[in-house]
Amino acid sequence: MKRSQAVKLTLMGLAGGVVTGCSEPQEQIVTFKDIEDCVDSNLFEAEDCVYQYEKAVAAHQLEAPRYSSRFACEQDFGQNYCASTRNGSFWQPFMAGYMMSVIARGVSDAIYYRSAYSRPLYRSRDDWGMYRTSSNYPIGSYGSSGKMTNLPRSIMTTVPNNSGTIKKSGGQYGKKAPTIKRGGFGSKSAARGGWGS
Amino acid sequence: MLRIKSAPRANLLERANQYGFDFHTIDGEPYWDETHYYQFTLRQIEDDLEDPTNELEQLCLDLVGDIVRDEHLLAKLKVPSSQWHHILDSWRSKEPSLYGRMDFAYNGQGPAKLLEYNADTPTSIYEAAFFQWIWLEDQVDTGIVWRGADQFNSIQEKLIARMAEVSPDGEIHFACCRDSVEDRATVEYLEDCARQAGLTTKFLYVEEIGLNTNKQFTDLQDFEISCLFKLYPWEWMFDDPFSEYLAKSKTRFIEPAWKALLSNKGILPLLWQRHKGHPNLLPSYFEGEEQADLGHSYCRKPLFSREGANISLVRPNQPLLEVGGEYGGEGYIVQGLSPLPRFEESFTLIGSWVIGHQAAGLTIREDNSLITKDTSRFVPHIIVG
Repeated sequence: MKRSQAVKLTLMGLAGGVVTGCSEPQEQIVTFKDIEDCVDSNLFEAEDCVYQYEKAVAAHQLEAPRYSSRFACEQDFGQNYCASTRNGSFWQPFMAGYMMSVIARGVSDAIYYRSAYSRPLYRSRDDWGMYRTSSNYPIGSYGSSGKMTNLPRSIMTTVPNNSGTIKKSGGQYGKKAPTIKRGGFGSKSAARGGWGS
Repeated sequence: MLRIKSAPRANLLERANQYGFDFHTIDGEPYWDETHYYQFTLRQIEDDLEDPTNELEQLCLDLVGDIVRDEHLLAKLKVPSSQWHHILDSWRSKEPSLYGRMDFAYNGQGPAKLLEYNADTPTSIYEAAFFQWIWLEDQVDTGIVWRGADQFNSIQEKLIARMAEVSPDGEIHFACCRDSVEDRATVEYLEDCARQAGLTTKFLYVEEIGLNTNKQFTDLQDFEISCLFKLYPWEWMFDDPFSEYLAKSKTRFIEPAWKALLSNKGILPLLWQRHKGHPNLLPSYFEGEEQADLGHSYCRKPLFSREGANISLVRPNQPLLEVGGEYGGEGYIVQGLSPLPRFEESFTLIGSWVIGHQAAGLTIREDNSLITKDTSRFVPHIIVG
């Protein structure tokens, strides 16, 4: 057969529709340093704290940034904040905390349980007071345990798969340098109208 | 290769709406045209189109390896000298290519002749990869097309497989210019494929790309862009104000900068010079360097041109056929004429998709003129026998 076995769309047409920033659904989340922090907050049952923490640790294995050397990892996360994996093939930062959906609260209901998310959080060397996701998205202050925050749901639910990439150097994780100008590309298009080939 | 009249689907508009095909009609004229389809034999597809596409791709890659190290050739292709190093770097570090489309004159007999290689910003991929596939599925279901019919179209499968290979860190930003429905849909389709490959994606317009204090390109949330698919020509990027930051940028571009060389019509004379007499190539020369084998009928094309703009056909005893436009300032090439085959009132162009350096499927375009343009009709195809 000379054609694709099957084709589908997940984004275009009635399959999806583009998610835009302003209309994106929000998710209420809470950040914690560890299980104890979560239990102390009295926001969740201890078993929820443990369950969601374990889910975050499992996600951490998959999505934490990977570096080819200790040096490269420590450039982004600080000295002694990285560990090599069991087989020693790359280095990853320690998980600095985790965030969980507020709907995980009192979720004896199995349906809610499955739809409640938790994700690992990290602290970058150049912005130590801030929690960030593995994709470098700033979440809130480290230590502000128990404070509820609203996030675009996709930040919570989209798990980046970093397992395929091992960075050779640091410098890509941490505080963002501010954008100083825009509009430096695309001047030809405005001048000519549409095109394609 | 036959052109066969066929009943359009009764639910065509519903299908188009369902699958986000918003530009099936352009300026009131049908763009997607399923009142006919083309029928090929498997031998025609494999021997005359697929194999030559794969072979030409290798010749093109060899040629890039020569051009990037040759200042004389880079100057001849009118590549700005400020970008030579950047292009060489992108080639040396083997920055991966996602896709391209070779356009052929082919009438079902004899060798297909390469007219040009849309190596940087080809469009019509959604129509070819997805909507054409659905058309066959639908027409087989209603009995309009024979159940045993196949199609040369593994484009989407290959795109999804290739996406994971071109992204360095599991994330791709997609960008096109404002104000083009077709471009926006093309990019949305590719973004869809990237998501199906398990990648994280974001969209922004080319005009919205930012520059941060580290002189790196940023998205609307100020994140540095690690990988950018841009449906925007390299030669325009080279002319834009941000071009001076390209060389030190850590962004990986799809297509990579070395593709700027293959989308240049100057590769046609260079390929002919290296492979004179190749059955799938036409005699081609930089204007002013013509030799006798060009013949008296030829086509004149700007080094940079899209949608047929500024192309003219010169034939003895016939009026000059010419399409206007704003290209051509950088010089021209001339190419021996291999007229497109004519079916009734339509001239037919075969586009052959290359995904990750492999031939993957067809786009067929028809026009009432010998010069194919952006408004030329897209016609589906099948393989029988």
